Amino acid sequence: MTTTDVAELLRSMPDLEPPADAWRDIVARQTRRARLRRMRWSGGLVAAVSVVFAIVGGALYLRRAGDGGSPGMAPPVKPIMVSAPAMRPDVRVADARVRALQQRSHFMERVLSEMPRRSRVARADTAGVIAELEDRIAAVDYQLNRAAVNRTGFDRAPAGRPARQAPVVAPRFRMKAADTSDLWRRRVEYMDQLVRARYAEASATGY
Amino acid sequence: MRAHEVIFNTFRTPVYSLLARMTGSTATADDLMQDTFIEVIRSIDRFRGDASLATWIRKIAVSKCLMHMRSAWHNRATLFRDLGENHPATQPRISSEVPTMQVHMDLERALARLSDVSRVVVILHDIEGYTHREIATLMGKSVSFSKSQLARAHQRLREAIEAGAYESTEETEAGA
Repeated sequence: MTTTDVAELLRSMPDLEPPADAWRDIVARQTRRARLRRMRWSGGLVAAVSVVFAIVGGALYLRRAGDGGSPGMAPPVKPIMVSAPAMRPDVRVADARVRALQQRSHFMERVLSEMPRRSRVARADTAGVIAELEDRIAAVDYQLNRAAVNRTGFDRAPAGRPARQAPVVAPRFRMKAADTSDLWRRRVEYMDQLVRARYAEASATGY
Repeated sequence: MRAHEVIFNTFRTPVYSLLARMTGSTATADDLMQDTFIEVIRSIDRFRGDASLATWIRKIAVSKCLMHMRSAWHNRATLFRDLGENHPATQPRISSEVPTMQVHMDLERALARLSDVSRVVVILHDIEGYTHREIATLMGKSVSFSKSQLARAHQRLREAIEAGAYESTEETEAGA
């Protein structure tokens, strides 16, 4: 058999049928993408209109204050600052890091869910490692949930009081962005180890 | 969307076959096929007609596949490829029956056992008709790299087909 024969055989291989519902998935993805784009668009439009209104309103206010009132009566006019709500750069970086870790964690979850079901016959040491890792992940999840609940509780104020004056959870329970990031990092590490352990287990049991 | 659906229905099978064979995974081929057709829908206005529509779409598919193979997650995902149920050769999706079906199945299995790089080179060269220079440019490697990968892949595929033929002869003789 020559190289040309191999190439010809390769070219003559029959086509493989794609999944039947592939088009439906593509349409769903396209629709989601379009909706996101519209939301982004309308959000930008609203922000732009607000900025224009603020500038025009400020200018009118300044003109009226300059024209109408007597010099003695005119209230001191402060310059109007119009800007997008600023976020501290370190907070932005931490948020991005957490988001990336969350995505990796979701990816691992998906990989795990696609693995073959666990066999009843397993090596005791591998099964032990898997159980240990699952426990650790559960512990991290518990802390992440607690952090989320506390954050919500801190932001929410009892009726009739402004939010800033009445934290319902003591500040010591608030989790810093760095801590959240650390928890997600640990979750990703454990998930990674769990995937490897499950893979080793699946290989050993004959998959 | 109607015209897009027509394009999809016309090219989905060759594109899927190409992607499944390049990646060695039907699940990845599903994802990449979606990515390919979303890209096609998005940039169909830019199609100038220099090449045929089929060639243009296949180029997008090849590019999506190579991008996927360069991605950080790809190495992890390949861990699970050998689990068996994920490869086209083990899935009953072959759309037409031909007398050389056994040879084709051997070939599919042998393709799946090649390294990612060898598989991509052999498919791009033998099926898609890319030159070694084009493959080298696409993969960021030298022409001699592409040639050596192809030679090695051919050697492996030849061995696999011949071993398959030998086994089936033995089975026939034992049956007689």
